[in-house]
Amino acid sequence: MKFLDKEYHPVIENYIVDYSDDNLELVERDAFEEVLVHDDDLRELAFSAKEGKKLLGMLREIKAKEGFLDRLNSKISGSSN
Amino acid sequence: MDAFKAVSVKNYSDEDLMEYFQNDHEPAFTELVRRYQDRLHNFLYRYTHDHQDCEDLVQETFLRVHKSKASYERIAKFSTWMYTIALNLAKSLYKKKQRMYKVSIHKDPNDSEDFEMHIEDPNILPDQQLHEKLSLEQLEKALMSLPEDFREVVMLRDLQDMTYEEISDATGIPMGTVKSRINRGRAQVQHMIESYVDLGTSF
Repeated sequence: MKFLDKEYHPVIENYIVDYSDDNLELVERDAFEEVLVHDDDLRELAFSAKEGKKLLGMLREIKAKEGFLDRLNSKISGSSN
Repeated sequence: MDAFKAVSVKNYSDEDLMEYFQNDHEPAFTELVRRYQDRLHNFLYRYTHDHQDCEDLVQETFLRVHKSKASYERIAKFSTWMYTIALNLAKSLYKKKQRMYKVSIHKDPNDSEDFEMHIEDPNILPDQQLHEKLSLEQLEKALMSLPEDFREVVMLRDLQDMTYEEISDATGIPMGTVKSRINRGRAQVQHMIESYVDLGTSF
């Protein structure tokens, strides 16, 4: 995974973050994707970061779906009865 | 103290929320749970290294906060008070486990907190449950395998929903480095678990 070792200008890192977070305007996104076409390592980093962000979002959702608060509330009502 | 306003719940300090909760405003407690659920889990994981134990301990901590709300006094920071409860529970669990491993799995009649163990084999699961458990476990494993520098900022951003500015302020790491670490942390998580999950993403 040599693309992880490459260093990019902060402006590019900013674009990767915004790309992963879906915060780019349509025109900006198109321009950035055009840049990605010409740089294999940057493309790999940006695509992987975007996928990774999605996976971590899944993890957060799964944890939320586990119904933490519901179970806590049921324990609380159980303990006060 | 001003009247409790549910719409402003996110703007209240922890201590204000606790005081409102002491005055029977249940949404104030829910907000405290929201603020500290993940942070407590991460805190306790350092002691237990077991996510299920962490989950149980976090639940128990909030349960104690709920039951003992009257004993909280505003002179103490709410987070310090709550973390103390959590740490004491983690220590009790650790002692209990030590006893279990060394002595017996049966109830200790001299210990009012001890109880009979029902041991289930966690490896025997229906297919769907197994798949979900695997996905969750793989995601957590991938996250925990990240280098500490990367994991910290990724968790703050993607699990605790902090902004990049807040992360930079909280960790003292320059914003550019925060972003660069988050980019690489996310990318590594994806690479570590791509063999387990079919992403099907379109760009």
